[in-house]
Amino acid sequence: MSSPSQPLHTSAATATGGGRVLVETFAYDNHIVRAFAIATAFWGLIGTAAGLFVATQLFWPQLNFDTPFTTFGRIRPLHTNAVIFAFVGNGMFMGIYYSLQRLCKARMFSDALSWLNFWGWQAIIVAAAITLPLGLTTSKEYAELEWPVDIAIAVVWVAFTVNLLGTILKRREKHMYVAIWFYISTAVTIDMLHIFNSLEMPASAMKSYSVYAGVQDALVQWWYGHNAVAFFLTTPYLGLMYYFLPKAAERPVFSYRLSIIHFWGLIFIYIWAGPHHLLYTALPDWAQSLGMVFSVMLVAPSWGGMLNGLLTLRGAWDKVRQEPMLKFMVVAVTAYGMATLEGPTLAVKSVNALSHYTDWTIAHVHTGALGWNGFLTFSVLYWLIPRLYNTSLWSVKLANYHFWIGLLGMMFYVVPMYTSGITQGLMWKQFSADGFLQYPNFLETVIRLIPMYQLRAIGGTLYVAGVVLMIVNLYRTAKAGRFIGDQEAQAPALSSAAKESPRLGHRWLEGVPVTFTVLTTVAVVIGGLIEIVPMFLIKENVPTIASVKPYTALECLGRDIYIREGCVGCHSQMIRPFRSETERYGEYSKAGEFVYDHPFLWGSKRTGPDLHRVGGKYPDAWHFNHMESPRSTSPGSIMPNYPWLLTRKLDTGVVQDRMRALRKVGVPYTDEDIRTAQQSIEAQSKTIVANLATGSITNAPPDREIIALIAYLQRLGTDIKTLAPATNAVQTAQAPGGL
Amino acid sequence: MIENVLRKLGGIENYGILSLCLFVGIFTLIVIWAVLQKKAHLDRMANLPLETDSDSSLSP
Repeated sequence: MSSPSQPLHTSAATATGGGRVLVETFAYDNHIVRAFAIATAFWGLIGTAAGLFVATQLFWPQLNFDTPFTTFGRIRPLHTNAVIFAFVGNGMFMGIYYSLQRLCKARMFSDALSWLNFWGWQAIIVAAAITLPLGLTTSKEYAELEWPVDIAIAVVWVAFTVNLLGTILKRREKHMYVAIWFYISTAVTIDMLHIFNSLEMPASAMKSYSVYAGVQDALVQWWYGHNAVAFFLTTPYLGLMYYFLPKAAERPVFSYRLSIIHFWGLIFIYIWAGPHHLLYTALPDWAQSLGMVFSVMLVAPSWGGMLNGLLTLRGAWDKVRQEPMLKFMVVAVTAYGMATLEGPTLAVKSVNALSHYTDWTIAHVHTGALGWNGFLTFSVLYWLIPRLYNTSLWSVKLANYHFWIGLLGMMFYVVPMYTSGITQGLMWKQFSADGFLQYPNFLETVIRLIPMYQLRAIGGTLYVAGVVLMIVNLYRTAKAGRFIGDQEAQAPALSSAAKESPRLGHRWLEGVPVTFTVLTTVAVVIGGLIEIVPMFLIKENVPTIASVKPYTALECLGRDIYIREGCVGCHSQMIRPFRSETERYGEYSKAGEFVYDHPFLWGSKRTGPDLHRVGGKYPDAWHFNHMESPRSTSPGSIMPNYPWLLTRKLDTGVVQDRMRALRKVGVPYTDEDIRTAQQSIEAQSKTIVANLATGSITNAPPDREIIALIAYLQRLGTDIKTLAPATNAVQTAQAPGGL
Repeated sequence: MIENVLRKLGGIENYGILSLCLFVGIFTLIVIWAVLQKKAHLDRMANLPLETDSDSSLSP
């Protein structure tokens, strides 16, 4: 029996030029497309439902259920990972596996690699669904999974890359269509981003520390985080837009010339813009400005692509009325346009001063996730499933309901979040006529936002309901049709001479995939190198501060608990150099304060206050009571209770391995520090227990997790307070960012 | 040596000029590249997704 990836048979035919060519008959693999389609629909429901759950926890804290596995800090990363990697990831593979085969006029390079890609990816998602609620996390946003899962991701992604490039190499169509360029850029760039951001030192089977520290870790993380948006959520979906939009509109893309400019402009510029996630932080000014300038430039190629998509529908807008798939596509492309104008706007420093750490960012990313990725995935599913099953959609009416419910849901999501974000930003910065903060108690700004969070949950409910309608519709469609697993097709064989015609124009480049891939890699590497390399080679970028010392053994364990519980999901540790922030939190954060922070914990939103200078701000007993029941110390707080921290015994047996791992990545622990770690823990715990006793907590056992967490929180931001005033002034002058 | 070069590049003004030159240079090249494409080729490429799944396109 012949392999399905080989031609079934060949026959001679007469080409339009009059010459004889060999026509090969082969079969497209629809099994793999169907598998990814089912997966994207399933994980789409799970991911959005998890989002609705965490959104509800923000106005109904009882839904945290006082158990570690269901608290906001652990479930929020589950939601983001499920939507990005499970829903959009499977959606991307679905569209790529369908369109690539047709555009290359070839079956996938290897069925085995296709299924390794599918099952490997699902296993990674399941691993995430288990490990994140267990608190096994690196804490780096969208890269939370621990090192064994990171290795699995790298293996599966390489399998996908080989399968993609192998299919392109054995293609029967001389030139690569624009969608394929976007797929190539996705494959190679995600390989690079994932591997470099995930470099970490294992301390045990499921615990590791980033090899980078502080500012450098932040820069690498947001180089990754920003470009995960670019090359995971954007470029593959642009490829799908360039394939499925013309298919549904039954007309070619508006301008193929524009698509060339769109592609090269986008992949070249995108990679530079990562630092816009770190404006006004301790990142050096040059890197911040670089990120801002390239972010603004990004508007040009992004809007080129959006207009190319929308103008493809010129003269065919009547189809949009009749075809639900096109309705979803139009909203998706419009959302792409809105998000890609808003992104550069938020990257302008003066706008970012207001928007950063607020819910404005949440609104922005959900315009992209719900509108661009969500609606485009729905669009492709509505188009694809009837074709895979050789039938028509079960109910166009139900699909139209889904469209309107989804659109309404999106509006109910983003409008309250914009309102919430701007309200938050303005309240944080508001001074009274006497020159004091108008809202000095952070909680006042949180309570004001509760109605917005409630409205957002209505939006989320509508959106999830729409997904349910879609699943019903697609299931009934599949039941009504007959699945075509191996779809027979014919195409003339492509001779190797035809593949490699030596020219220098873009047309030549479209026929030489290896050269194309190399050039794409060069385009994305240049920006990464210029952005990141100086940060590692030039010492002046991270001025050291003599009084900043490594964490003690107990603080180190406390920091790991802070990471485990996902505190970074709501609390930043980065005070920006604004009067409104120094008045509220204290001295602004310096790059040199984070040199032992593996990983950095600067955070990206403040649902709760910044914690960088929380050390010494409250007595130990306050933290004890606050962690047990936040509302006992802060009435109206929406923070979850953490009662298990008071009862769980601290595992001190791991501390020496952890300190050794940290030493390997540059933290200067001595042999003596590691040898005496247990004694150090006992001594510091005793001090904290004594402090608790003075705060009327007389029964606190010294060996519970809460003690370590208190030790860490009380250390935060205190190192520079021990400096002599003169030294402090010198170091302050070296710090980046103006007041 | 690399450190010296990079230290000199470390000033924000140089990075601004460097990024602008790179952007204008690459963007100009891409526009020229795109404009030089022949219309027949562009039309053929733009129509690729519209060929049906079982098409046996015999054009060279």
